[in-house]
Parts: sequence; C-alpha cells; structure tokens
Amino acid sequence: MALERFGRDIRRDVLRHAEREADALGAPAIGAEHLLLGVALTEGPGCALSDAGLDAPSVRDALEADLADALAPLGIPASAVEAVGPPVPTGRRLRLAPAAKRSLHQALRTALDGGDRRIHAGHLAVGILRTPSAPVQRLLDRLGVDRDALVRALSA
Amino acid sequence: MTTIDLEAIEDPADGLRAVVALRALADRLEAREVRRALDAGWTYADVAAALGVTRQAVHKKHGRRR
Repeated sequence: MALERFGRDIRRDVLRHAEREADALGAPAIGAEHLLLGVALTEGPGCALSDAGLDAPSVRDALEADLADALAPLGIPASAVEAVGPPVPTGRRLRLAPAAKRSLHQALRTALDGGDRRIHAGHLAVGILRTPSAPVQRLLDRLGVDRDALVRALSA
Repeated sequence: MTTIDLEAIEDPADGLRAVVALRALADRLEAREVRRALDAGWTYADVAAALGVTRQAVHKKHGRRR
C-alpha cells in the first residue's frame, strides 16, 4: 500500500505506537486492535476515542483482560498473566495483520469519501471501526462502546 | 488440581484464540526470562542452549539495542 498517502501522524506516530504495543503484548503481528491503541496514544486525552471510553490506559487494560479470558479455558489463571509482568517492548519489527491492512484501506476510502487528500488518525479510527475484526469487537464489547455512535462522533 | 476439559471449548474460534493467547504469553515469558538470565550474567550461548535455538536467533530476538 502507498503509505505516503497517509499523514505523518499515522506513519510516524500511530504505526510506531501500534508496533511497540503489539510487540510488548507478545502479539505475532500488528492487529487492528493495536492500531486502535496507536490512534488513542497519538490523539491523547480529549479526542473522540477517549471520550467514548477508548483512552489508551483503558484499551491496554482491556487487551490484557482479553488475553486472560482467552487463556482461562486452558486452566491458566489471570494471575499467571500478571505474574509474567506488564508488557515490555523488546524492539521486534512486526508486520501488519490482514485486518490492520484492511483498516488502512478503509481509512483511505473514508478520507476520499470525505474529500480529504490527507489521511489522518481520525480517518484511521473510522477505518478500524468499519473493518470486521474479532479482537476489536471484543474490545468494544468489553468497554461498552457503541460502534455506530463512535463512527458518527468521529465523522462529525 | 485444576481439571482442563478441552472438549469444553466448543467453538473452534475460542480454541484458536487460546492458541494465539498462549503464544503471546510464552513470548512475554521468554522476553522476561532472557532478560533475567542476561542480567544474571548468562552468555547468549548459554541462553540459546537453554532455549534450544541458535545464538544468532537469541541475538536477533532479544539483542539489546542501545
């Protein structure tokens, strides 16, 4: 994908944050859920995402809780995840997962539909929310976020 | 003693999600333990032998960036 269509905030900040967070969590690739966390970290407090409950600390906690939930059927208690310690980046380079790539394509389409030449982090947030992704859906469910209402708030 | 009933995971989506989570947990545990070993004075060769991989693999994955 032609990344130069994306504003510098996405190339330099969102993707870098997303890669670092995915690495720290031990993820095999940068998923759409990590991109969403990257947007939250880039936009900071007071943006539409954090107003909807998707501030970076909440998203981080939700991703940790999701990991613990996924391990529970194997008999691995949440305390085991805690015992391993908080996520620490190791400096791994990660590729984009398919849902993350699709989110970037959706961001491009969202910007074009709005008549914007530059794709900024808000477009990417909408792109992520318009892309089917089980981890993102679980994240929204866990934090009680209304997807459609958030897309409207981001598009306003 | 916790009994683990894998048959209780009915939906393959949950089974596969558990696999991904287990790998993530293993990666985080590996990063933590390799850090601890190196801090304790282990060589990369010692760590590699313990993990059953090459020294180059340990360097690539856990090499310290200064």
